[in-house]
Amino acid sequence: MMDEFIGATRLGAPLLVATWAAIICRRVGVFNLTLDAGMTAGAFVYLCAAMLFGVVHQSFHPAVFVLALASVILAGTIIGAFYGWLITRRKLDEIITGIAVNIAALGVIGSIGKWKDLDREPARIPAFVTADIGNIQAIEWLTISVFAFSLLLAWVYARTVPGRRLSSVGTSVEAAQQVALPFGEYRFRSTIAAGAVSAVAGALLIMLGGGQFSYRIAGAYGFTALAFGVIGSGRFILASALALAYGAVQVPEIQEYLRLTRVPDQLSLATQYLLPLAILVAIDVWRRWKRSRVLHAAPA
Amino acid sequence: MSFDAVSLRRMPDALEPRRQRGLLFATVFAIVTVTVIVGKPDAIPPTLFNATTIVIAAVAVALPLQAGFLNVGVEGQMLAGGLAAAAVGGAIDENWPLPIALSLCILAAITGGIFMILPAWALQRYFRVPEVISTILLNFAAQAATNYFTIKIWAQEGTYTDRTPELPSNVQLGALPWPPVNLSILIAVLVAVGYWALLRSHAMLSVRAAGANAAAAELAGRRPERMRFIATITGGAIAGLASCNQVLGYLHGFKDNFAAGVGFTAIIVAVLAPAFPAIVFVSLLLGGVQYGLIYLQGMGASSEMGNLIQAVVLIGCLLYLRRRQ
Repeated sequence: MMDEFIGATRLGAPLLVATWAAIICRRVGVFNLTLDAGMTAGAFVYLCAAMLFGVVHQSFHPAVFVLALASVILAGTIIGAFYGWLITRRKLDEIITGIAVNIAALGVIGSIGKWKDLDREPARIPAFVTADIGNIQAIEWLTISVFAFSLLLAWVYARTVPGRRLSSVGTSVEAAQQVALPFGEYRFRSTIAAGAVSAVAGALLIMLGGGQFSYRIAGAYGFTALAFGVIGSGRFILASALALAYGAVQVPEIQEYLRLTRVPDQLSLATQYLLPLAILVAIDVWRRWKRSRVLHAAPA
Repeated sequence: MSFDAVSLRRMPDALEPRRQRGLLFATVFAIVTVTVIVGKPDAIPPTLFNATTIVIAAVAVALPLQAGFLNVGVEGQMLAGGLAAAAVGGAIDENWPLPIALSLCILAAITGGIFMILPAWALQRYFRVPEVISTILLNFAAQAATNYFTIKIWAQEGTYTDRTPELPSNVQLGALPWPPVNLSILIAVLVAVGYWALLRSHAMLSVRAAGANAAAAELAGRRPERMRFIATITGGAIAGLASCNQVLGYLHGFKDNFAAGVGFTAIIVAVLAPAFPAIVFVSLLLGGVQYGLIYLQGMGASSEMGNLIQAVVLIGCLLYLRRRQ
């Protein structure tokens, strides 16, 4: 049971970090479709930086990890800043621009990767764990701290003045204008932060996935994170629970795969993409039921 | 905080004649440039072939967009439509009359497209799930599911193939003298002309009203939800139809992930030129660009370069349009 829990945290951690990025943007009223690009860029830059700095150090070194992570954050910041500049400074449509930036970033990564033949390189990158899902002996502080950090973010957004100001921009731009909040600046900075956070989520995919990289590594994680951001109505703790549940759903299948009892097929993959939609429907039904109960309970 | 905070800014739905002429010149210039660069007039048929799919797919995005539904799931709808057409085509006897057999396949493609867009519409209508999220996730689901059917169901025991068996000749859209252009170019012409007629019809006013302001449309006696439903379902049907060019006209079977990138190109066309005939010009332009990129791939460029260039074109055009405003 403990193994399953640890496996769920490990599989859910990258998704949770991506969901933070979605919520950070959602809190300021931006529907950020560039999360997939940020994640792929983060994973790719982590691969490149770790290979480059790893070659310099000749072996795995904590400095390699720090340098690689700094590069990842820089890459995510660039994507976030570009997207933020387009939608806040140039006032372009955030959805169409998000799709375009996503495709452009994936095009750049793919072009560089093919040019340098990086997809054929063996993964010589610092991965924290073996591929054995549920191995409690592995370093689990990372995943646990990711989930704990959600509490901190929830506190910052709910209890601190900057957090409340950010949330007010997403709730009502007019109200934010009335109290002279620089909502454009808030949106711009939040988009940059979301870019950096989504890139870290991409790097986590490699770290927790046994050091493997592919150009489709982000899969639909970015869009699933967006769905979780919508489902959780911008709440970090609810997002953590959803990410954990999502990880828990995947654990049995991966365990079977590792025990070589069953190879997951594309059909089961399709159901994973439909899962966030099913949760969205369930949440909406539950909210309606709750509202109807309140209405029935109200005195005539 | 609600999803209403996300506002899809309406794009201009009728381009002024000067811009349309500009687009026409740009298209002709691009085709001539590609022809000169490639060094042979053979560039024109592949450009037309690419543009055929793009025109139909662009209408599949543009029509629901008029009703306020951003259809990002064209790729998934094309895959479902293509798979349905290939399944029906594979089951049809070779001795069936061509018009009946072909009509059944086209009908299956349309049904496949509707089948994929219907959940997205229902999720938005009844459960307030944003259509951008649902159509994107349904895209991924369609890719995975069609891959499963192609590899696990159609592949013969012990073999690996990413495509279904060759379709019989009575369900193939006939080739024209300039391969790979086939009879589906007629479908594209019909769709484009139909869209042009629709843009000038009374019904389209209701569709636009539903997209621009549903509450006001309801007060004016329209039925916005019904209009949005019709526009969305028609968009899905047209997206399914877009698969015919590849599945029935060129590949003569379903190939895994054959629609990769078409959805994004269709969004570019629908956003930049949602009106007729600009939609045709821009489709030709991007069809030419796609062929030029395939040519460049032969010279060592990566396939991702195509998406990159299209994305840069889209961002550049959006910046230009914003500046003019």
